[in-house]
Amino acid sequence: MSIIQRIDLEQWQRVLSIVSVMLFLCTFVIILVFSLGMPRKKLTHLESLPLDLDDQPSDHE
Amino acid sequence: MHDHVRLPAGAKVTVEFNDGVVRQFLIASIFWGVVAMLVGVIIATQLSFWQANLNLRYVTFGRLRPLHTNAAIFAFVGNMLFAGIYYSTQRLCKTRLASDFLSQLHFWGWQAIIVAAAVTLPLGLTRGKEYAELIWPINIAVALIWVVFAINFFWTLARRNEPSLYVALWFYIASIVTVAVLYIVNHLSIPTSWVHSYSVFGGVQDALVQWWYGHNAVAFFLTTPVLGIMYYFVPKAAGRPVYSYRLSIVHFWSLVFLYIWAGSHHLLNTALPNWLQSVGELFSLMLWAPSWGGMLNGLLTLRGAWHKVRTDPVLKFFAAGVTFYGMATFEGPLLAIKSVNALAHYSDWIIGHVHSGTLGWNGFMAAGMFYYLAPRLWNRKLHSVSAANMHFWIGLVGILLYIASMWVSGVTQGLMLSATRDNGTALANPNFIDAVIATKAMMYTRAFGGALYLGGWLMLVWNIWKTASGAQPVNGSIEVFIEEKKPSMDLAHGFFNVPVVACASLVIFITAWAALKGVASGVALWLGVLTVMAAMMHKEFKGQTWGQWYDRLLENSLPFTALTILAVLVGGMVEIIPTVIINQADNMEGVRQIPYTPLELAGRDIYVREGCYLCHSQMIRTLVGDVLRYGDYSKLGESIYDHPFQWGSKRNGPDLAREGGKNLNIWHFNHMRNPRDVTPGSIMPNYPWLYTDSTAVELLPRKIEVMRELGVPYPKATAEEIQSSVESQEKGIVDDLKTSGALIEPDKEIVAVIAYLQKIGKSEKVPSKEPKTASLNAAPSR
Repeated sequence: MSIIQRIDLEQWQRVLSIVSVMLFLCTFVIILVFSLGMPRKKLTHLESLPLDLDDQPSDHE
Repeated sequence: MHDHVRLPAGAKVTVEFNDGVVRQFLIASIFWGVVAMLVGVIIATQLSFWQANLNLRYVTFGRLRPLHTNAAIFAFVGNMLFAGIYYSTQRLCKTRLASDFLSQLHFWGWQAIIVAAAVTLPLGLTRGKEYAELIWPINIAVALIWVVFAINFFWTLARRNEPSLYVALWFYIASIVTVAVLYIVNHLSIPTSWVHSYSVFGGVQDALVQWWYGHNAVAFFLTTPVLGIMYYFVPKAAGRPVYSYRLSIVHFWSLVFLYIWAGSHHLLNTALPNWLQSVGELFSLMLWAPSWGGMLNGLLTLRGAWHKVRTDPVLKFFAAGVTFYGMATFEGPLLAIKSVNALAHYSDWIIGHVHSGTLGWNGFMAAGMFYYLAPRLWNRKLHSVSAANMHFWIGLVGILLYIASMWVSGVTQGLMLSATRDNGTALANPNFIDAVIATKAMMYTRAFGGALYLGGWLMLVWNIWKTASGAQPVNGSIEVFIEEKKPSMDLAHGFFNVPVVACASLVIFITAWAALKGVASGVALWLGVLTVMAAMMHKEFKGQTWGQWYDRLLENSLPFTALTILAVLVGGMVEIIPTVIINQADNMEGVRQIPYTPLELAGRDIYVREGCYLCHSQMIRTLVGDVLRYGDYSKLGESIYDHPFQWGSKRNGPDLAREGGKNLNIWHFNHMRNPRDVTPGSIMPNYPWLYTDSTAVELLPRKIEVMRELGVPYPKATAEEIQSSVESQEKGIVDDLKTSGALIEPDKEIVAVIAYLQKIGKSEKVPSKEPKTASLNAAPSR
């Protein structure tokens, strides 16, 4: 029996600790895959968004 | 031109931004920053010199500390957030704010809330929960104005002329939706009058909900929106794009998912169930990684622009601010380790940690942003760059003095109060006051550091006033081409797609493998393996689909928002729902709290009103030092009927969990009038009004009725029966005081407070599942 399976689950809520870690690991891996697979062109466009707007002062209030 | 009409694709339009409301929030933030910091210096002085409480009920530490925290969080940082969010969102969306009316309603509504807080808190009108003290009518106003803000923000997103959502906007989205959830859940209360209520949760449930909220107020009000501000303003100020957009994606989702779980690290070594403590500790440690990912992303954005930091005060503040963020987010996980927390909890180390975040991260990012914005909003150069640079250095010295003194004080307190002798059978420093006296010099240093920081902020006030004074305010504008709208992603496709389904399935199968035994466990494991293989094959053959799904998610705010809500809700649900279901009074084993009599309940409400819980905890931890000093460690059942819970978060004075019966009535009578009469060197204020003001007995029938609704086993009682119970118990205490030479009228508040203090920690053994019906009559007093 693995170390995880030796966890005493008499108090059922203890399994929630395992659920939470698994949830995070799965989410993290999937997001990592997405971010590494994003095309360079898209990344360049997104990271330039704050900079390509050189807004000028408009009328005075 | 105000972009209110949707123009055809390809049309060119000039968009004028609503920077008027940005100016309003900026000025408000600067003003309330002065108030928040000034009150902070005052309460720091009160901890150094008790005389600074002035014997005035409205300005005691217990009443001003909530004013300081609420002013710092909601008034100072709140207004700063709105200024930064409204400025950057318009420019990132290339559109004006959706509604001028909602913008003004948001601004004036928020200021009205702050003024209401500033009036009610010194009056002692409080819910008795940290960062959630405001009374229920103000809570409703906060929720309504937050909805106004959300509508204005999301409506602006819906009308944007830039299809992609820049990373800053994701942080704003996460902040808006999560704060709404946190605020509503932790403020669930049943009113007893127009100015008072009891929290729906009690005991351990309230403790968990409070710190799920309290930590995530830090996370989603003080951190994520300021990270969004960092991702916009640091590149703008440096003239460089963010260091790694890929890192910002991983940073965002990791942070948003992990933060929600960490709240229980405020309750380590307490009566909170162990699995909850472990989850909080583990997730707090994991949180270090995305936090530093964000810090590095911010700092490395300055690559190639470090030479500007030498002369540009904006970049100085941003660089230091992000560095303090890194410091605080290293210190936080460290403090969340149980063994470190055993030393640090209830001590000044926690205060130092909090202020490295608020002064360093929030305060410096605010200063940098205001120095960046003021010249642009008033179309005039900053009045004095050298004064801004001097502000930086004065503020930095102030922060360093503050946190260093709190580190020294906190470690001193932790070591002194836990030190034992005689092979761990006795305390080395049995008198709590010895730790107070030993750290006095650090109290003075902290107050001085805070005063320096305020001094630097006043320089900012002068500098920006001189910049704006006589200048004409201007609104930014741009020319944009209206882009053709791409097909949007509906909510269903946001959730029901291969990546999300694969993730959910994998979690279920791996959990089943761990939880089940035998063949079922083996089957679950193989299903998990097959899920991974299927997902990998799907990505291999339809790789474009995965990438396209995420790209489309970045351009569709509704499914993005929904997934963000799911990410933040999961942690709360997993922690809170089992606690609420399982940890109820009926399920308590061993011991259960004996409910307060009406007089004791009135006394407890006075205790909450005066903010006594801010200096005195009621939770003896499972640690040798605590047990030797205060008695047996606290059990869950001993506070199960406390609405709100009184476990506390700081010990400027000793823990009171087993105070009941420890000292005579006359001791409490003398102590509350002048604490130094019984404890020389005490820093506790005098409470002379408790001896002249009458207990509000007329409010008790409604209070008892609400307690019954909340599950406290009070019998039905008429107002006359309650009055009779009160008078009987008052007489007992007054007669006892008379034998000790103290004369007091029975209806004075001090009698109620003594009744409450003598009841704390009284519990009954629980032989069966049936709760004991509460009695209106008190046990005989000493």
